[in-house]
Amino acid sequence: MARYLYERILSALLTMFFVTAIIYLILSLIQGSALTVMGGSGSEMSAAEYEAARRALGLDLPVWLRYAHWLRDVLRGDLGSSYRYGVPVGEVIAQRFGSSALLVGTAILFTLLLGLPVGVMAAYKPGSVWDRLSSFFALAGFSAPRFITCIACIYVFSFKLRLAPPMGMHNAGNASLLDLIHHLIMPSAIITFGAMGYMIKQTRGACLEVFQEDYLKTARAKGLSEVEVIFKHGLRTALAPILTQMMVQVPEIVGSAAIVEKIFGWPGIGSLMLDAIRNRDTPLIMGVTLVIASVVLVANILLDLAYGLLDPRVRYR
Amino acid sequence: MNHRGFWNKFRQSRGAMIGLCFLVAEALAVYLLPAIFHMDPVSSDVQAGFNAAPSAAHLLGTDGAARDLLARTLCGGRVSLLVGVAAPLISVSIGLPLGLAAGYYRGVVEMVVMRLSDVFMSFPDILLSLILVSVIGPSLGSLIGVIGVMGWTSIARLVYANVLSIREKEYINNALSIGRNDFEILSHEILPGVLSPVFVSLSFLSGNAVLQESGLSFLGAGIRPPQASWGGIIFAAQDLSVLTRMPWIWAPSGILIVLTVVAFQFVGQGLRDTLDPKMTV
Amino acid sequence: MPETLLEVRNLTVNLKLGNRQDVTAVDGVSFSLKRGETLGIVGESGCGKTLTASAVIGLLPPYTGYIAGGEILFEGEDLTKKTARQMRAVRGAKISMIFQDPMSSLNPVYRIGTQMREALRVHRDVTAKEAREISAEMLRKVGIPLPETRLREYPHQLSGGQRQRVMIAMSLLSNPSLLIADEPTSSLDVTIQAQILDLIRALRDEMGMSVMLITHDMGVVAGNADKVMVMYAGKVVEYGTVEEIFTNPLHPYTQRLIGSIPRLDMDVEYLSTIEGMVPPLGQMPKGCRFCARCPLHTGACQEQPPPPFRIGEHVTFCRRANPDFRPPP
Repeated sequence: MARYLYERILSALLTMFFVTAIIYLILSLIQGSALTVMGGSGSEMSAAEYEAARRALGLDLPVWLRYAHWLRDVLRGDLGSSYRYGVPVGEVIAQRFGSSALLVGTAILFTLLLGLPVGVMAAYKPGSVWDRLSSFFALAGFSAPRFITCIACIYVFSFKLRLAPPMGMHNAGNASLLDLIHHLIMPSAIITFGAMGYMIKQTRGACLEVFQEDYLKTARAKGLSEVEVIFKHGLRTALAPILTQMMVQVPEIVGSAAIVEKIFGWPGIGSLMLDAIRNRDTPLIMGVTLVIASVVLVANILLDLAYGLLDPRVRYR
Repeated sequence: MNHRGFWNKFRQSRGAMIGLCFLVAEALAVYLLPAIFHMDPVSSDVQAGFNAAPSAAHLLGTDGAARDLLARTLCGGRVSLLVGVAAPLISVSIGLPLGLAAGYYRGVVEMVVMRLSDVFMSFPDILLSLILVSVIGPSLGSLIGVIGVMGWTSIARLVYANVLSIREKEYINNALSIGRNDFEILSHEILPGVLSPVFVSLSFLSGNAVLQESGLSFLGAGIRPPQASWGGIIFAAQDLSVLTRMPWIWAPSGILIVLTVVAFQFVGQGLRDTLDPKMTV
Repeated sequence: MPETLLEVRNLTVNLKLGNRQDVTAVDGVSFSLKRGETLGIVGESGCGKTLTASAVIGLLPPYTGYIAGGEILFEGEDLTKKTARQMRAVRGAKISMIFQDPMSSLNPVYRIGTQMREALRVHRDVTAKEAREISAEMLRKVGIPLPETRLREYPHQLSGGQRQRVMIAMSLLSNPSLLIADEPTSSLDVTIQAQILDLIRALRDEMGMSVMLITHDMGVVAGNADKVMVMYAGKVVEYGTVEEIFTNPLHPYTQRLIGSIPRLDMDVEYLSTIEGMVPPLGQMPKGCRFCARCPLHTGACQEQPPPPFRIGEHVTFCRRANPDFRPPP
């Protein structure tokens, strides 16, 4: 198990290296981006000033060397300064990370809490009304783009019904937890709605297989109730493969959170990333890339560990 | 299964037929209607006003630049359908050879391809596409290219998994022992076995491409005005007053996006049920 | 004379098959079982032997199988009239069941001890410590060495034979009066098979319970059952004590099943096999169901189901068994 974990962490670090390198390379193709962002249009500078500015930012060096420098600085804990805001990237991200974690964490929690039981019930009686209803719901979840769900929800729930606020994390001057939850409900529900379809589908598939197994008959033969049979023996055993499938979904959830943050004006790193891309703010893009890639890979390692905990056959290998 | 048998079985699937009919009707509508009625999606009708509500002259109203929204919605459909058809073809042309090679040769090729797909899969699609499009510059071509390239991983993994399971079977060994070369084995023994799952996943990829395109255009990184696209039309709803007071601007495009994606999903499910219900795509 | 524990009368089990009409998979089966006795139910796969046993313990496949008629009198009560909740109190407590494949009949993600404790706690109020002691004692009884260690292990750490012993131990925790063993040895090695069968017989005598032993192998029945019921295509074809069935088999199907037992003490050229296929569910012939594979069949066999022919407790459903029967010229 320890060896396995070690291999996983090593491969995650390698993946992280490639992700950042590829994105750095792509960004380097934007010509003179930093200067355009910082100094307005390049025409206002003389050729000498332009050259000096370029050298100051290290843009005259070849790409691989610049990436190496960036990587070296990252390892020293320095993510550089935002071209746009002129402040350290680390600070900007630190300010915003918590609110994103809250939003995405809530969404993932509810995806699991709702998606698992719904998927189990769908698998319990395939073809039933409940099964059809949940597969319709799942289809709606992954067919509606997040931004359309957001707009429709804001229109209906904020504007027509006035149930939930359409913007931000807090009302001005109100820092209470209740107010935060009130603001959190709609954006996190939208992410949950999108992610749940996949969850239901995976749970249903894994449970359909497990429900054929003899140990469910054994559980029934012991005299356990159907609820115990289905959840304690059925879902519990199916949980490990379901979690593996969740891994594929984590980047997708993070991506859709970015759009939801943007529309709801939620001050997280997703909307920060979208703005950074629009502004071509390379250091900021690289910083957020690093954070997102680490979150995804840490989530994968945690899910791997969970697999080991959930399935003793893996643990004792 | 011959073509007639396939079609007869496919026809039984009600959802798939509804999806297919919807897509065909939609394609005819977005390509023919603007031409027949000489609709103009680009020029402004200042007399009708900006963001005007639906009226006899403008059935779906006008947008913020006083352009006819019916014409823009129809022309926007062309973009979505074009991306939906073209991008998956690019995904397949990248993913199919890579998946075949990884599954057939194993070893280094397998490691490189799988590692690369890990890299792609550990970063949100929408953000990577956004970065790519903003570097290349937004246009219909770059949208198709970027969305197509981003889709390669799912095809490559699907093909890879299928090749592995085909390799297990006896007849590959037999073919080897007769002394056929790699190309013959790949094209005669392996390719036919992976084609039907690829065919099925094309339809799912189309739905996904429509989603991606609308998302990028909505974020202002896709099709740029004055050219019309559904995501671009909904872009206007980023203004809260448009969102709350002028639903006619964004609702039709939004509904069409969802319906188009659902239609592609239905067709994909129908294809899967027709070719092999046990297939996991 | 020991009292009757289980009396099944005219049991009929139907299966729902999607949109098509329900089919009858077990058709009018009757038998009885005394305390301490073993009944062997023999037949090919799909003959309804497992469904018959599942009906007794109330474990028909959910949503597809249901009892369409008949009575199951267990300790004088009709189990077909019990609610699902009442049946749960019977299952695992008075009637237990073990299955064919011990590799998949234990849940891979729970420790042996956890699974045994669960079986105990459904029916009895015991502390964790008591549960551990009772379980260890039962494991010792079924011949598992170092039971305390085994309780902390997972199923995949045990061999197939050991797992089947664990299954038996688990099913006997509440001291049931009936154990249903569905092909308990079919997936085990031959040497282990004999050990498991001996164990079941020894435990039956020790605990005074009855056993329903379901198998496709006449050889298994020979040494382990008191009574034998042979089933074919959902119907009983022959029923009697083990001595009568083996010394005087009346039904051609039974004769062939016995003929297909490999024997070491007899030098035979080849084992007899039974030609042909079982008719599919829902397409049963109106006459005798074995007709198409029977070398002795006559016109009457095709037209009408055979009447029962009895010699004492021995019953068979074959016209040929009746010495007065004359085939029409």
